[in-house]
Amino acid sequence: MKFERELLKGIAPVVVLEILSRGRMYGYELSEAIEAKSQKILTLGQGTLYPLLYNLEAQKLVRGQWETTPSGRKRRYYSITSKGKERLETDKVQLADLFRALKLVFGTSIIPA
Amino acid sequence: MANKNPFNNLPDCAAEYIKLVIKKMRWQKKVCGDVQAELIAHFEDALKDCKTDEEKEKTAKEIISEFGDAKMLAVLTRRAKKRCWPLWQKVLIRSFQALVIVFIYLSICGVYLSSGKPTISVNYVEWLNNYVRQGRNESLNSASMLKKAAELSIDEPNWLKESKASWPSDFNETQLQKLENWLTQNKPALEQFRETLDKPYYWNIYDANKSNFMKGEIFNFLPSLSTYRKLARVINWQVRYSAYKNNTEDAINDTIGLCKFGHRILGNGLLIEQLVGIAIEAIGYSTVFDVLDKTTLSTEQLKQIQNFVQRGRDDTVIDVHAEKACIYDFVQRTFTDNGTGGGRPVKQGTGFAGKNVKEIIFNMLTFNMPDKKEIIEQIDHLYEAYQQEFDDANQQTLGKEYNQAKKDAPLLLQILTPAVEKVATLSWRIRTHRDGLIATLAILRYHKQTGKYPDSLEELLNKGFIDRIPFDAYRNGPLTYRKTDNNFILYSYGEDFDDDNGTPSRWGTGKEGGDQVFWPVTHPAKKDVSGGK
Repeated sequence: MKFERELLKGIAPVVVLEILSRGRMYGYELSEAIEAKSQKILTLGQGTLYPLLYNLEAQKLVRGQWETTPSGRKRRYYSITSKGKERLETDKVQLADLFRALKLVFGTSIIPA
Repeated sequence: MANKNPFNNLPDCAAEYIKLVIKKMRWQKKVCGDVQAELIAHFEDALKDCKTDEEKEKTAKEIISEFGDAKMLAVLTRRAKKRCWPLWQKVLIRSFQALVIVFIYLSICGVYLSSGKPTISVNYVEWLNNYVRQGRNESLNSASMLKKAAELSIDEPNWLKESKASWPSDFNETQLQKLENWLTQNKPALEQFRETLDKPYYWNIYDANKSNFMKGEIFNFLPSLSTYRKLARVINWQVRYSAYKNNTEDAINDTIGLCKFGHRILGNGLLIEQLVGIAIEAIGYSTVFDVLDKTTLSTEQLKQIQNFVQRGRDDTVIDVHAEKACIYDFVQRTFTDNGTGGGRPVKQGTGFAGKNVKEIIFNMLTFNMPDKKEIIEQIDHLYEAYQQEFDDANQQTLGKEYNQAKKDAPLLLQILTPAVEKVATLSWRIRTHRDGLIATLAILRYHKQTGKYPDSLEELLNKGFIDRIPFDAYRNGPLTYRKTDNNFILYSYGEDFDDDNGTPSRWGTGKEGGDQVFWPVTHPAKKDVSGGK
C-alpha cells in the first residue's frame, strides 16, 4: 500500500529500527521483512530504504558491515546499535501516545485496538 | 577468481540504472563503490528466483520503478552519506573549503594589486635640486668645500670622546699635549673650513640619475653628512683651545663660523640634513656659552656675536617641502596613473589604503582603494599642518589641525609622524637656544656698560640691548630671568613646561623635569652640547 510520503517519513525509521532489533539484516531482506511483517500494508519505496539506512547510520542508530556469504556473495548487514535501541524505546512510547490520541479523535472504527 | 564485471549477473536495464545512480552521486570513489555493491546485491537478491532472462528483465524493471528516479536516489544517497562523516571531518573539510575560498579571493586581490603599473612622470630629484638652490649661482655654494673640509678632518680620539672635560683647563699636561697634537693634525681641515665661510650658502646637489626615492637612492649623500658632525667637533675644540690660550679673536671667528656652518646646512633640504644642521648649530651655541663662561670678552666682541645670532634668529627652522617631494615620489611609484592625476595603489602602495591595518585589509578585500588625488590631498594637508607646527613658536600644545590631519592620514604617513614630531621638538629647542644666547650676550653687555645686571628683560629692551623680549617656546612667554648675588640666572622651562626654579637639566627631560639653564653655564651631561636627548 502506498502511503503519503510525509506520513511515512516519521514512521519509517521506527519500523526499520524495530525490524532490526529482532536481528541483523541486509537491505533487500529488510525491505522484504517490512512487507511481510506488515502484511504488505507497509512498503518502503526501495528508493527510500537505502538513504534511510545511511541516515540512521550517520546518526549511529544502526551499524552497517560488509560480509561475504558462504556462497561467495558480498552483502552489507545492518544491525541496531545500543543508541538505536534507546531511540526505538522512546519512539515506541511516542507512537503509543499518538495512537491513543488518534483513537480518541477518530473513534474505534478507524484506529485498530 | 574474482568477477571482473560486477554487473554480469544483472539485466542491462538494472546495470544501466545502477551506473546512472553512481554517476549522479558524484561523490568519493570508495563511498560510490560501496553503494554500487549494495545496489547490485539488492538486485541480485531480488532476481535470484527468476528463471528466464525475460523474467529477470521484467522484475528488474519493476524494482527500478520502485527505486524511482535515479537522480533523486543519487541525491538522497549522497546527502545521507555526507551525514556519516564524523564532526571533526566535517569541520576540517568546511575549514579547508573556507581556506580555499579565502585563498582564491586573496589571489584575486593580489592579482588586482599587481596588475597596475605606475607611470614615472616627474623627476623629483631634479625638482629638489632646483628647490634647494633657489635660483642662486653655483659659485655661492659652499657645499663642495665643506665636504672637502669634513673629509680632511680627523675625528676626536677615544680618550677625548670618553672624557667628561668641557674646557682645556680640565686636562692634565699629557692630555693637553694630545689635544694640541690632534688639533694640529686637523689644521688642513680647519683652514679649508674657514675658506668655506666666504661663500654665503650651502645646498646639497642630489644625483638626478638616482631619482628613485623609494629605493633610498637619494640618500647616497648621507655618509658625507655624517662627516660634518666630525668636523663640527674639531671646530668646537679649536674654539675652546683658542679661548683657553686667550686668543679670543680666533675663538670668536671660529665659533661664529661653527654656528654659520650649522645654520647653512639647516637650509631647506631633506629633514635628515636639517637635523644635522640643528645639531651643529646647537654645538656652536653651546660653545659660545662655554667661551662666555671661561673668558672675558669685550663689549664689541659680545655685540659681534649677538648681531650674528640675531640675523639668523627668525629664519625658518624646518622646511618640509623637500621631504614632501620624497612622499610625492613614493606615491608616483606606487600608484597607477589614469591620465587625469588619479589612480589606485599597486602592491607597494597598500600602506596608503587606510588609516590602520584593519581598514587597509578591509579596503583591499572590498577593492575600495583610495584615489591618488585623494592621497595627494591628504599629504598636502598633513605637511601643511607639519609646517604650521614648525613655524609656531609655542610648543606647549600641538595644534588641533595637526592632530586631526595626523588622525586622517593613511597609515604609511602616520608611521612617519613620530620622526617629524622629533624634528619639531629639536626645532623648538634651537629657537629657544638662539633667544637664550642673544639674551645672555645682551645681559653681559649691559653689565659691562653699567656695572650691574638689568632688573628685567624689559629693561634690556627699553635700553636697546635687545630688539625684542627673548621667547621661551616651552612657556609661551619670555625666558625666565632673575638677578642673583653678583650674577644672574636665565633659563627656559624646558619640555616639562614648568618652572623648576632654574634647576639645571637637559631641556627639562630629567627624571624630575628641571629647566634648561643658559646662565650660569652648567653641564648636566657632556653630550648635552648638541642639544639632543
